[in-house]
Amino acid sequence: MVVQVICAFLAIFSFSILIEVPKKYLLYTGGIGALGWLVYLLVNSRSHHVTMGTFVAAVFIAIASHVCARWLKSPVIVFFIPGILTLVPGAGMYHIVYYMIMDQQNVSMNYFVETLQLAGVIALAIFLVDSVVYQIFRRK
Amino acid sequence: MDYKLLLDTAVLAGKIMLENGAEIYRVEDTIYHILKKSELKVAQAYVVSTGIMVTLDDPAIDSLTVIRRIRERRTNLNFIDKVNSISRNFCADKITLKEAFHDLKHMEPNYYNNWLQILATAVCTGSFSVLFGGGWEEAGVAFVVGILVALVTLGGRRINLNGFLTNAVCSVVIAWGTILFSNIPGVEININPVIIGSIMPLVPGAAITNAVRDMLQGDFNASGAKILEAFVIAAAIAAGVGLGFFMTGGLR
Repeated sequence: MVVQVICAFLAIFSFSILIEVPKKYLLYTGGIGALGWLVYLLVNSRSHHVTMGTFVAAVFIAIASHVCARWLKSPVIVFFIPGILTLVPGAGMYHIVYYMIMDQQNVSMNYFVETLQLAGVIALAIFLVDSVVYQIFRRK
Repeated sequence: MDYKLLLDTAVLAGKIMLENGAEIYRVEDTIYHILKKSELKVAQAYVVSTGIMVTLDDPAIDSLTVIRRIRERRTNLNFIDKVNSISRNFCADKITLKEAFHDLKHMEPNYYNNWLQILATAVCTGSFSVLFGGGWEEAGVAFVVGILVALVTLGGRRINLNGFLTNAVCSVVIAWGTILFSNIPGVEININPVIIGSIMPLVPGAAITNAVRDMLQGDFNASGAKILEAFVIAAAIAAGVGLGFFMTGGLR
């Protein structure tokens, strides 16, 4: 698990360089990615559905991004786009194609549904956190 | 106050943000905040994902309207952050209008050089392959494949290849390169983590994120466009990986 979290940090840190996150924020985006992955692993070790882990981790990453954005006075997406990347269902997309080519349409369809679920769950997490943050700061 | 320059500054700020992947409401918000410094009665910004329309009006002046068409689109968070801080500083009266306009005009185009981008892609694909169940051997192969991906991306950018083709060619190279490596005698790897790790820098995470955030603000136009973009990117990756498999004679 330690190796996984370190790799998540490295992955997000280097991906942040690819989408040109300013140098001063690289450690924060990497940290958000790594902690998000840690949350994902912890939740998944206790539940049977990948979607649950993805949802909780996505909520965590969204909150962490909002906190960093308020604190460092920068747009939320600067932290959110790199942070969420570990949860984006790239594996699902690959499996869809892989099993389609292997002529196993059923397995492919399963992965298709799962990929849509994961994308939907990420969307739901963003909806939730954004709405709550919006409400809180509008009242002030 | 020079209203013409104010309008130009606001539109330039909006254009840079929109081109580099900011959400629609943030672009409108930034333009609106800059225009509000004029203290004129009407200041409106209407932004869609392909263009900006801004107008400034008051009984005291002739109305001013600017339309800008947006053609380029990429993700560059550095520019978004910079424009954000420039507009904040301007609205807090820390810098003058002229300085704000000058700063927006002269932003450094590339923050990280090509070598660093290649290294970053390689580290990114290598670490992601570990996240998806790979060991050190898989990470090593993904690292090399990542270098190839970075070279294709940079080459595509140089000859102005469109996004769909760049993603498709990258995915072909990923599938093809990975299978090539797995055929080298003495290299025992599981190709799945390598390929999944390598496609991660290409997946449409930014498009999904912005689609949802735009939808939440009621910008359904932009949101629908972003969802389509996500599907197109995913289709490009899928087609590319599939093609790569076929080119290497399918899967054994």
